[in-house]
Amino acid sequence: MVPRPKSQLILPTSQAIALSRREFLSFAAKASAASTVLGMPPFKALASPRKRKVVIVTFGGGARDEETFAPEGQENIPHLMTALLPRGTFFTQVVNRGILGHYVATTSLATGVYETINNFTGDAPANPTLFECFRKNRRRPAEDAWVVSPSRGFAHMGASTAKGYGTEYGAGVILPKQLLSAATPSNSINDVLHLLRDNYEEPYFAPELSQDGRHVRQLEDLLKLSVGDFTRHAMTLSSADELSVYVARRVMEQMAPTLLWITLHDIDIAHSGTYSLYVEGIQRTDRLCLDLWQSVQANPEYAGNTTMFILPDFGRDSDSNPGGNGFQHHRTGDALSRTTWMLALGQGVREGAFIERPVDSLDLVPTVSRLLDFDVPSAQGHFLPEVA
Amino acid sequence: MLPSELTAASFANYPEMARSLAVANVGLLREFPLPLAGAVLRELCAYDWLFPAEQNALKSQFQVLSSLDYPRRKAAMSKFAALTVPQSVSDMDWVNHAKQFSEALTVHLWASHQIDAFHVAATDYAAVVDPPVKDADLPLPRTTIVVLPRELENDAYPLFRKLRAHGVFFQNVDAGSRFKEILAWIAQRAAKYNAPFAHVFIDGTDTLPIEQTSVETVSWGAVASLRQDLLRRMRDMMATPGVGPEMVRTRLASFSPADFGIRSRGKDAVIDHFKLSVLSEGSGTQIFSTTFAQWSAREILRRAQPLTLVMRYGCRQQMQAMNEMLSGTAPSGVLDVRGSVIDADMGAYYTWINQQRLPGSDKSAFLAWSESRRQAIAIGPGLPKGTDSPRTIEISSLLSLLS
Repeated sequence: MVPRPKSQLILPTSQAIALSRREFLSFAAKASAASTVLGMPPFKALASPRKRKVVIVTFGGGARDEETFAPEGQENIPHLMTALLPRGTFFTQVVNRGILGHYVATTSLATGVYETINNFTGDAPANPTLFECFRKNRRRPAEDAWVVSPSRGFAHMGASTAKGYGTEYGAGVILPKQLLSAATPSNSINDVLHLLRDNYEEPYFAPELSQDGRHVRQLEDLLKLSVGDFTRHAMTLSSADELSVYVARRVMEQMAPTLLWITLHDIDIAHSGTYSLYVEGIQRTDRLCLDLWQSVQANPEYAGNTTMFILPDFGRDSDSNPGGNGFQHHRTGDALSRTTWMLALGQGVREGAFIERPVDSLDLVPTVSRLLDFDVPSAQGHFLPEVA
Repeated sequence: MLPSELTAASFANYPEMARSLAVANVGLLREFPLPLAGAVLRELCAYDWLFPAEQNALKSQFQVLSSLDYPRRKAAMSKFAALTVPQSVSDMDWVNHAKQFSEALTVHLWASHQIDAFHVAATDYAAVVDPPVKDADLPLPRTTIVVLPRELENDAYPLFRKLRAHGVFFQNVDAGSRFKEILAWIAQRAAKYNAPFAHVFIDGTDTLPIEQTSVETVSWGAVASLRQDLLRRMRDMMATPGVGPEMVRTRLASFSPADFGIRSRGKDAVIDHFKLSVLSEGSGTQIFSTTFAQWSAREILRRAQPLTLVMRYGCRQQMQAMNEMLSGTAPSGVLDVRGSVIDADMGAYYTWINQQRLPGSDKSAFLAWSESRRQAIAIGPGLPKGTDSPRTIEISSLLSLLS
């Protein structure tokens, strides 16, 4: 029997989802007024003489409005609501029209083209990534573009197979869990096992990577961390995303790349069907977003000259779609699973602004490329003029 | 092979009842566009182990199509015919490996941006062959009860928030109320109307309190050895070089109860296939008892459409690293009580939604009860929506309200 909708509930549209986010516009207006007291005024950073940097934070595990920006979900995202939203421009309706798998969708965000690669084989994208175009156009060294990714499946998202591009121009990819795995003595592996979960969409699968000492060298040469210090710190953390943020902070301190991409993944525990762990993942991600923003503000290489983007790669299925199982998956392709949001903060971004017109997930690449002054010829999205 | 080339011999490998139904309708199947043929055969090939409600739906589908003249039949399937299918997919043995075909087709539909068109085609087709029935005349009003037992304590978490708008929230259920009263109630309903799979108990705990043959039981405790065996096989597959997720899914989909030494017949075979499908097709069902209970309830409602469902949650294990869980080396006995309450609360809401999708939803009733908090939400005809009741009420009185 083919699936059929028997629900008497009304399926939401992308527009309806965006409209529901308007419910906190009144809050935003108040928060915007407060921001002049709390932080830097709009466009202050435009006066910065230093070169601009961009930090992109994606969630490779979407979160729904019910658990985030809807009134009943706001308790889960106190830092986004009170500390970050008032300081940024919020795009209420970001639509992903591609394949709703985390690797292929995240890679699509990085190429500006809806990629059609197999979500689970970890192949490099077919179209050039913004990292390659940035480095090639701007003649930037390898140290100037980095990706911190949650799982082994993301190992090849830093560079494409496109002719004229490739790893020669790609971003360095750091896989914190691989670092940890490589750095941890076998007799203490049980202490950090809770950080090593690789993939929630297909928990029984992770692509194989060679154990050639490359990860240990990344620790020592790039992050300037001894294996012992790294492992000891990891043992104090409660989740893989906390490890990713720790590594990202270290990358900023040691290399200060112009372009830094971090993908968080804890929310995707939702695939296990445990609502409590999914909500915990959202709460942790909320806290980590603030941590990252504060790290940007505290780092002299970044403070005042950095634009930060925060966006889920897509949403999750609605409760009302009979083809899905609510928060657990993103398999239906319904409006809720395709519609998400984006928050832009920092240099060139108006504070407390809400953009309600629909934008596309692919618009990220043309916007970043305009900010950093390079071209991505294959990108299919459009520059977002609200981010100068 | 195209659907137009189907013959009776095409179904030679199907089980007895499935073969009979396919052969009887081979003329209709020849008219099906390939994406529809694959979707229908995916169900039909397992016909012998489907629940009666599913078997009736399949037979009804063929009857409705037969009653239509050719142009109307063609129109009902036209949106499936508009979907493009690459040769690599159409060349698959979609008659004998319908699940694998369906997986491959799904991948293609996503990659080619046709998944939304497929959903529209399926919705339009279902509206013709299987229109929703809201006011069906059922032998008993459909009723579901979800129980959060005494050990699921989490005083800080407000219960049933999503359900309260739909019924009466009882803040003070009598402390003397016991779960056994619900077991007695389901037994009474089974005595009033006895039919295969009409009354189901899904238990997320390790215990098995029901011994009645008229109530079908699916329990976390009873599938323990099946779970362990399945996890061992998954672990072996993971350790095999070159075995990717598609291969794992293919192998999981091909398992039958006989592969695990379970050789039942008749009604027992149907429920054994169901249990295996929950464990092999569900995500997280092998590891978390709360997920097992929620997914089992969803699937039993969708597939068997029971008149009575009683569902009891248990405490799930604390989250460990996935590898550790799959390998069975996670410390046993470490439970997450607080998280289990939150899971069960959301699971109760989903179970109500799933019940409301079934025929007779305008007369159906629902109760969710937390023993430790002594709170309950009752939903049904005649129960005012979005109301609170502070009065002390016994569980027996709540059960009376549902009928």
